[in-house]
Amino acid sequence: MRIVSPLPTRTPAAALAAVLTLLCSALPGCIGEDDLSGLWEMPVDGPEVSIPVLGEGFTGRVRMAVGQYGKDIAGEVVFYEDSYHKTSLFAPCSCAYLDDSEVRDGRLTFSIATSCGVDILGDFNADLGGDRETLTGTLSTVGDNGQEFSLVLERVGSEDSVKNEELDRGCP
Amino acid sequence: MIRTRSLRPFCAPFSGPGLTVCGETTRSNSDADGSLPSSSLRRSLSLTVLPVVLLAVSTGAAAFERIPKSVAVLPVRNLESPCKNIFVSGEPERVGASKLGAAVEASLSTHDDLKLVPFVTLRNKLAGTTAYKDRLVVGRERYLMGKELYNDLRQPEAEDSLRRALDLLESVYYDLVEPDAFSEILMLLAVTLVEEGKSAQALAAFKRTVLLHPNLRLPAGYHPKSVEESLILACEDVRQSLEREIPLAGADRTQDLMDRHGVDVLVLPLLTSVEDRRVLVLVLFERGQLSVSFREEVPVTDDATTAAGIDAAISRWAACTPFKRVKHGVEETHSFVLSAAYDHMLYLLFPTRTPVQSVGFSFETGYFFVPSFAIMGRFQLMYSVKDRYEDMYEEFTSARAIIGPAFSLSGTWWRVFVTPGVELNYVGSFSVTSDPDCKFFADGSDGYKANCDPDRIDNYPLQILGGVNVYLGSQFFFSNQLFLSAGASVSTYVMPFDRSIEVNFPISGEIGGGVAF
Repeated sequence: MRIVSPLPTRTPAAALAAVLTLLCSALPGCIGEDDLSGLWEMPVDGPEVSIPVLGEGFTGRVRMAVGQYGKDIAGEVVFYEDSYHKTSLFAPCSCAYLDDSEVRDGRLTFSIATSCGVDILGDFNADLGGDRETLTGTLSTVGDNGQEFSLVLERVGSEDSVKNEELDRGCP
Repeated sequence: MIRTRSLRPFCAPFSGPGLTVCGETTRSNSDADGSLPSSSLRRSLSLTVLPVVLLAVSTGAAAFERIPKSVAVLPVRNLESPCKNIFVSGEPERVGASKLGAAVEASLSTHDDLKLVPFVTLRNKLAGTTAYKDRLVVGRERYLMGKELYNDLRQPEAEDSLRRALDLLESVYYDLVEPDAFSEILMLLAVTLVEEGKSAQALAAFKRTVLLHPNLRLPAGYHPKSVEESLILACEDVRQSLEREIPLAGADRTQDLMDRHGVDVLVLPLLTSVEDRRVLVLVLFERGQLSVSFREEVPVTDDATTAAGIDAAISRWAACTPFKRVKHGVEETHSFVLSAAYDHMLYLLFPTRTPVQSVGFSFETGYFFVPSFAIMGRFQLMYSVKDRYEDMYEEFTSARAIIGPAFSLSGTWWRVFVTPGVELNYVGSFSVTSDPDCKFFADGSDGYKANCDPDRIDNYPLQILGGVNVYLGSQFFFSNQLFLSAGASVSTYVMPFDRSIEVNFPISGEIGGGVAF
């Protein structure tokens, strides 16, 4: 009687593939899953976003530092008004940490509690296939007069960029 | 000029079929090819080729070994006494024939490449088979029946019965085991044939009788004159013909004997007289060759001179005869192994969400007490790397020591072995967290303080784990002593016994190289 292994190791190539998969499963970024870690910004050549309920009204751009660990996400959102130098932070509430954040099937959701007293929900779909890696979605204010603001974020840097800009040290 | 001594002696055909004469020769490259363009080119070729040749010769010579040839020496066939002595009463002459046989065996036994099979051993082997015993009983019965028929003057029936007896006994080499008894049957057949008027067949039977029983002595006048004349004729004929130098009445039968009983070389010593000089003729047959492969006449004088002559003859043959070469398994040629390897290890059980990997180096040593069994020890130094979700917050170093017996199989250039062993693993302190904020924000930063709860970081102190390890290794020799190695191992820890083990079931793979000596 011939015993057939239930494992996909009936050929040397399959056995090797199984071993490599096991080894790879332990390495960060080895398996081709979406990795959102890095620095995301609204494109310079795109329109700005206006969120009137934020402070006395915010018009400017958003950048986001993201660290992904499986489905868990950590990071922060920064609001700034200068498109070029990114130094002119939105004074009333320039930065907030990502809370309750996760990524599932390329969809990133999070909430932020701004120091202006406005809570915002983020809901973005990742498109990492093309030359430009983008997060397309909305920021929605929470409350009775909740509003939704569409925006597109473009990946402009990796985890190293986050560290280089010291965004891993917390809100500026 | 490069002078290289040839590894194989130069052998050239000698006059006479099947004979060779050998001698070692020395060749020089320039002699072989005088057309080399310049001395500088020759020098550069020397510098390039010589190390390669030396390496190849040294490794090749060490790795390959001749397979010894098994040699059996038949009893000395003493054809010294004159044929007229057959009918002279008195003790048969022996003239030290057995001493010469012993001298031949002694000479052969001095050669490492030859494995002497004493004739007694070969004889016992032939006589020890069931077929021998069965056919001996039937053959002897047929002989006795033939003898009775002869006594009843029924020669044709007697001839038939005797021939059947001879055929049967020949098939089990009765002529080699009991030559005197076999020649007795032959003698009766020969006498029967004479009485039947078959003189040519009788002569052939007498010749074989005389060859098997050279010191045959018969009372004069017992047999009819025609028998005596035929016997004398056969005896004279045998002493002058080459039939005397064929051991088993035919080359085919000789080869068959060697094939069946694993004899590579059969030596037939013949003692004869040439113009009042006693001469020992050494005739050698080799398996696979139907003709005589070596023949040498050694003058028989005093013991020392004769022994020296025999030694010289045997040496000449041994220098020329081709030996099969075998490359021994690596475990037969080495005792110590020492190797180093790059290691990759994966802990299947670890307080992180995915297995944790470590990389490092291992050093291994082993001593083979006997082929296929060794004691091996391995030391590994490993460093952990980031896991898939980066739950390993603070990485660790580990040091493993493993010792155990190794059981191996090897070929000419490879060895595989399995080592079940005991292991101690020193695992340094480390910490683990699944909180993404603790991972993202730099330690001590505002973001870290604001988001990372220290209680969500689990700290593990250093610990020493003990358990069992099974290692499957392989070595691939690319020279006589150097090898590349690859292996894999798995461990399970059982110590400490307080169920505090958080790290377990490491599997590892390694690739490296080493030296054996």
